[in-house]
Amino acid sequence: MTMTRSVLAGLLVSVMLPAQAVDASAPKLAEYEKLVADWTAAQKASQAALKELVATEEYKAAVAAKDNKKITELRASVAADSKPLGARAIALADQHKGDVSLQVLAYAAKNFGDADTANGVAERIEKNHLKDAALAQLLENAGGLSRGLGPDATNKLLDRVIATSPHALPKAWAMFSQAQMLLGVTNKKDASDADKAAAAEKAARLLKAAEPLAAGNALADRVVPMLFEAEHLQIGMAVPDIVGEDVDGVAFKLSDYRGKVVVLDYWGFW
Amino acid sequence: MFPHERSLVERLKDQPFNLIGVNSDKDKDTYFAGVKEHNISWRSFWNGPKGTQGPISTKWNVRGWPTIYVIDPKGVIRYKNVRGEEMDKAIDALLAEMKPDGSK
Repeated sequence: MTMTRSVLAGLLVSVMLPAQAVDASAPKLAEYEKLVADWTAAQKASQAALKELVATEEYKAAVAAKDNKKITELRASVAADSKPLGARAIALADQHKGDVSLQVLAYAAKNFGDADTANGVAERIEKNHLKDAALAQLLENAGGLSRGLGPDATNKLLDRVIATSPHALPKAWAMFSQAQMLLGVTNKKDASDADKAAAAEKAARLLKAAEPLAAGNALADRVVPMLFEAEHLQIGMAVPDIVGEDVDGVAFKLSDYRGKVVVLDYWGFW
Repeated sequence: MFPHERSLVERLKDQPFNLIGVNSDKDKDTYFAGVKEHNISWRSFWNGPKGTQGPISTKWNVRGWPTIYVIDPKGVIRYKNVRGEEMDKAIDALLAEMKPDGSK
């Protein structure tokens, strides 16, 4: 068992993820439904290919050697190609207006992580949808978009949303997404302490601004813990106390162990 | 993960060191069976019946498992998410700081 947990977890998720459920707010368009069906089929084929891949000697050797670069490369070789589907999504979005167009773009932003699609989606958000309330739904699930754009262009687009949107929720999502990226920096091994501290401070500022805008929405439940991480869980900070019970039901506190070196380990057998 | 942490706890049993867990098994029986099977000796908070969605990990914004914090004797977070050898080095460095001649 030398495979790292994160690689294993990613593998399980990609093998076991059920076919994409069609969003309730999805537009009733035959072309859209065809697009979703084609992407679902492409992913199924890719999952089948992945299953074969992980059984090959080459893949097993890469895992045994913990060669993450090779593993990523091999996995990319069987990944579904989102580019042609992204082009179709963008063409379809261009044939429609308002929320229908935005919903097609949201599907692409969620699912298609290639640069061409991401650039096309970002361009259309900038041009046509910066003031739409429903932009919040796109930003809520825009993993593909941020992958395809990369951090700088993603931040720029989010800045535009924050500066331009007349609605609370798209702004809040944009701030939350930026904070999430900044906290990613604080967990990077190769970032300097100064960069980490600056990133955590900026993340906290964004989350404080997002908090009132997200009030009453499920997003608020995600803003609060992230703000706690930014303000209290950074290297060099005094660790917050944990007051609880052990698994046998005996009360104790993390601070009971002050004076000793402590490794705090969030774990489980599951 | 367990074998490394078990040997760490064993190696440092006479040092001013503790491994404290936040266990996120929904069902305590899973925990007790695992502890027995893997011969685990460290103390853990219980994250409650919601498992990984429990109150402690939610408050701490834990999204990846395991998540590791290394805390010095003054209660300052000094390292995050170090694993394996890296974790050993981090702990050893903090233990060395505690010795009168090891301050840096």
